[in-house]
Amino acid sequence: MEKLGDGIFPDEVVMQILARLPVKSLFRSKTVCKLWYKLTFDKYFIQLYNDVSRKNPMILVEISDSLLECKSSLICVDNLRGVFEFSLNFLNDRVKVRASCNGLLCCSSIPDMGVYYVCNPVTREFRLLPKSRERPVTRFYPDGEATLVGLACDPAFQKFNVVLAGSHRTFGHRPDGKFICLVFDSELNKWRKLISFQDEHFTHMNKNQVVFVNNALHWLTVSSSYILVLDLSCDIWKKMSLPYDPIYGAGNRTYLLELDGCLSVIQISEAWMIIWVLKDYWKDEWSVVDKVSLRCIRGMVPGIFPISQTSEYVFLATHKQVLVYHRRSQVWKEMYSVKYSSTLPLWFSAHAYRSTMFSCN
Amino acid sequence: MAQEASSSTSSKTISLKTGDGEIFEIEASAAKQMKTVQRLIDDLGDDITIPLHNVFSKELPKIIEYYKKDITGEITKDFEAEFVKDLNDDEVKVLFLAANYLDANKLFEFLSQNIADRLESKSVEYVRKYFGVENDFTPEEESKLREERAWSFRGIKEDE
Repeated sequence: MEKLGDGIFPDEVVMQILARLPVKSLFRSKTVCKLWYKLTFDKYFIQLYNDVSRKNPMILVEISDSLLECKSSLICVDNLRGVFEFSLNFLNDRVKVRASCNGLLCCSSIPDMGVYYVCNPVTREFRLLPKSRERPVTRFYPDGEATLVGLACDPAFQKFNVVLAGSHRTFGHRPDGKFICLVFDSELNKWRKLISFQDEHFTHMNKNQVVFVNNALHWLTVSSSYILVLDLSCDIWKKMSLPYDPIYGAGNRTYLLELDGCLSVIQISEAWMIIWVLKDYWKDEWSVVDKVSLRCIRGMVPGIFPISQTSEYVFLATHKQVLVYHRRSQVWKEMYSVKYSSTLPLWFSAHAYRSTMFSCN
Repeated sequence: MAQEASSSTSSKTISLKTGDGEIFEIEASAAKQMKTVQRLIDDLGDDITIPLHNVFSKELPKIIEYYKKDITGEITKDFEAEFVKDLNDDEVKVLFLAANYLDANKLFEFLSQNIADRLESKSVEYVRKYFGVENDFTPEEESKLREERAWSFRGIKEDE
């Protein structure tokens, strides 16, 4: 009897399975045979891999051990595979994750101020960014470090930009009101400088939650009254309005996330979590996609922060836990909980993440 | 108990004949989810027994079971886990290829993920046997490739 299971897998079908493997297994499967080796470089396959990975949101969290001050490690939490440890040791440097975008991370060196890396933590490829000639990387005010760090990673064109921005001061002087922005271009391997005059202030969460859509980087500011935008196609800073009147939003906490390639704002009040999405970027039309009751997690509400989401799940972090909310079944689940006391809350260094085969070189 | 006198399209059943000659009934709405079947219905009409040369009596009932649950909108992660729990890797493979042949998208995607999960920590040799592919690398080429991505081989039992 002739059976289908006799190794007759069309290429297309093989790709569908490979696209669902974690990156480590995928890299191993390159050694199966020559055809498979080639398949993994195929543009269609890379697109397929990214489309599948887009549906599996993850959250990268730094956990620090209060007992050993210099020891901190990363964990990654996702819905499919749970919790697993993550290492950036391949960078051979002590680093802090500053931004995450489409599978790449931008990290700054802790011992060497002004040194930045862009890496793909799963393929372990990394690029040490060249130091900007003018050295204003260390002239940011107040502490020499860029206030804003953004990573704009475009998987379709396999290129990325890194943005470092903040108020400027020349050596030995007070800040002069200038807002300096350095933009790194991965194709030219060079930095360019933009100068503007703005006086923006950002909370810690504002800085962590930078969103890249439509070739622009977006941040919320302390006032939460608009979205600050850096359009990378023309190097111009702009402002975008929020979905609701800021006056009525007072008392609610606001967070900026991405949702399936669109800009999204999540508002958290005492009892509700409202998810807004900007479906049509150019028409500035926001719509509410979900209004989630926070009754089940009432006690946690003051300390809960949304970090990453898709149309099916929302990942949130508190001081000691990572939770996931399933929108369809309306179920909350705890994915991870810190076992010992940590000096920093989990939400402090939590980033949205997803795995990709994108090469940063 | 009141009975429906007339047959509406929603309760219409389609007859499917497997490659080994057995006949199974499915609801028309389930048939819609299997694009190959739907195409055959469009060509041959829905009163004829639809022949499925490449699907056999071992797999088809399982596929029908999946889509029965789908019609009532009840496919949960728990159902899917239960569905594949007692199947070994080869049984899943046959089911997967049948879903591909039937162009049954939902089942196909679910089984792709399941197979990926099963193969995740298997050795390269196991994967070759599973897909029926030959190793066409020379020993030198293969060891060079493994060296280049040695990090991806850590923790894997290569002799499985």
